[in-house]
Amino acid sequence: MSRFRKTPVRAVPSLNTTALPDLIFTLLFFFMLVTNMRTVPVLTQYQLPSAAELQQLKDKSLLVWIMVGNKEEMQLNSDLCTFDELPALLDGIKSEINPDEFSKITAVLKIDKNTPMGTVNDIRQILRAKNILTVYYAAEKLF
Amino acid sequence: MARFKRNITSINATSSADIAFILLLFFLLTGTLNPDEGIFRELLPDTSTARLKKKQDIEKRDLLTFTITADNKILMENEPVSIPEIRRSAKIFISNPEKLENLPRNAADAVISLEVSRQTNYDTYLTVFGELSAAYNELRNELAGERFGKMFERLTEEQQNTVREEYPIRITEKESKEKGGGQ
Repeated sequence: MSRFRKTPVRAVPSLNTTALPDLIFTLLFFFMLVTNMRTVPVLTQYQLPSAAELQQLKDKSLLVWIMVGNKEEMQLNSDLCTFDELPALLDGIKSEINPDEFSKITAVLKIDKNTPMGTVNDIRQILRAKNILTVYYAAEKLF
Repeated sequence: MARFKRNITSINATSSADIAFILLLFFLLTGTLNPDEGIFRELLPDTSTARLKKKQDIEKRDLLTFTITADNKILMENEPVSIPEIRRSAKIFISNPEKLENLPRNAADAVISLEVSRQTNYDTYLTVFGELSAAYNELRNELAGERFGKMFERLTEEQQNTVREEYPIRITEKESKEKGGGQ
């Protein structure tokens, strides 16, 4: 009977992947838009404190990053440092910046939430002595 | 002339997906999803003239004191206070809506003093500080809405300055002298 005749082997048609790059580019653009670049590597471990009504860091030029981790280790920009080195290192950073722009420097403080205020106060005193007067306390949103 | 049709060979694009994947992975690894958020604060300059300027008589009615003790208790005028209450009472203190005798005559005169101990937790401090600056922000937004019908953030620089003059942020901070354990 012709109905049950053995059919010849059929090849599976190959999958058309022309649109695959477009798909992945869409994903890529999505991540490029929603993420922002890490500017300094994080060498300390910290958990940010929480507060209400936070503002976003818009102007990303002339930032000085100061991080204090949960074991009181301190990081200035991309290097670990000690507390006593801080004034000298800040001087070094300021010497690379145009004096007209000193007033625009912002110190971003990323400090672990269990740090005693004494440490925070000391850092602020140093910043004040070095005439870096705009401070930005990084925090997480309080729900 | 006889024309013959030439077949255009298609470019093999199989690996362009891989290239896009590599780019995607790069952005996934170097990017962070949560944007930087926080609170701005202007420190007072460390010059003697600035210190002299700071020295002024503050009338009792113009001053509201918050204290955070070494064991993270929040006190307002030496009485314990809860966190939501901070913002509410700071707002009432600054704006003085009922024109009370014991509150500031002018919002611009109001000074909030925040006293912290060296042992105070940074987390507690920033919560209180955030509530205080939130109080100022809310008042500024209310005034901006009344005058210009917009949020403070969306006003022009000039309009923002007029609102700022009305509600200047005046929070002074100092370290309390006490050593160790509460009160």
